[in-house]
Amino acid sequence: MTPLSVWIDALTESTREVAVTSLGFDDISLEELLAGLPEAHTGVYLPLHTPSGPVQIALMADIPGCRSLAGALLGMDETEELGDADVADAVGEVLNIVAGSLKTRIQEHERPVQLGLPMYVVGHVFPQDDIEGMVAKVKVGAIPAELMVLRQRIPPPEAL
Amino acid sequence: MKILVVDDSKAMRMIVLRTLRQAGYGDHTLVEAGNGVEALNALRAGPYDLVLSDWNMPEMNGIELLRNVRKESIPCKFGFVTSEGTPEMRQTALDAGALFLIAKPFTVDGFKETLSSVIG
Repeated sequence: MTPLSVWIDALTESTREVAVTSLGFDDISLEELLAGLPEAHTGVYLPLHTPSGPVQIALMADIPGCRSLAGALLGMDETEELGDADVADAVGEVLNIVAGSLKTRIQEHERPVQLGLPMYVVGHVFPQDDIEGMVAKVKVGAIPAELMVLRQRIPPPEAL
Repeated sequence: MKILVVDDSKAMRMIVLRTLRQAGYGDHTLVEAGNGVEALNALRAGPYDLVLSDWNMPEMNGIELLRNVRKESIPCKFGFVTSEGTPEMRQTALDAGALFLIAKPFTVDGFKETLSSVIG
């Protein structure tokens, strides 16, 4: 089973690529790497089907952060307003592009990987005890954001 | 020339349309569809010269759309603009009759280079 650290590294690098090429930022900075769940609870989840089982990736930020990410994708300036549906759609597309890049980066470890459709979530996530996760706290340009990988923990062989 | 842009994301349709204009294709007729079903209905009512389609979409995905277009012998050139660009997907696309696959993130120059060989 591919370690979560490999997943989160690949997700961070894919986000860096998309931030520079599609969002117009110079770079992203990795602030902190944490085991567990993110503090922010607004953002987009996207399911991946992998040979090791289902994996969820997420791009999360506060609501102004999501608006800024959406505006960056659409090439809008700070004064232009986006509706909630447009923000959800655009941030979903950001993660969709990230997921495409991630699929290429992770194929040495997980192949084939199938991408699901992104879903914008505002609220808390309460995973079950057998779900494990890792979070990378990053800044996309100046926007604080969190990247997350979630998956079901595989029980040790003696427990099977 | 009439070009159909198919993507379930309104944001991405906007970006593809903007990129087409920046690449010099703004004088063509650009039409949008939100998924494969909408696109197939538009193509049946056609004619369209070129389809630029996402792959992952609800209702009917891009490869199903392409297979339906070929099955119904609807005449049009077809290419993918999608977030996935693995060799397997490129081969699947070509085998189904696509002319190209542009992987996101893409650039104006990348669009120009690919489309110039298809629509001049």
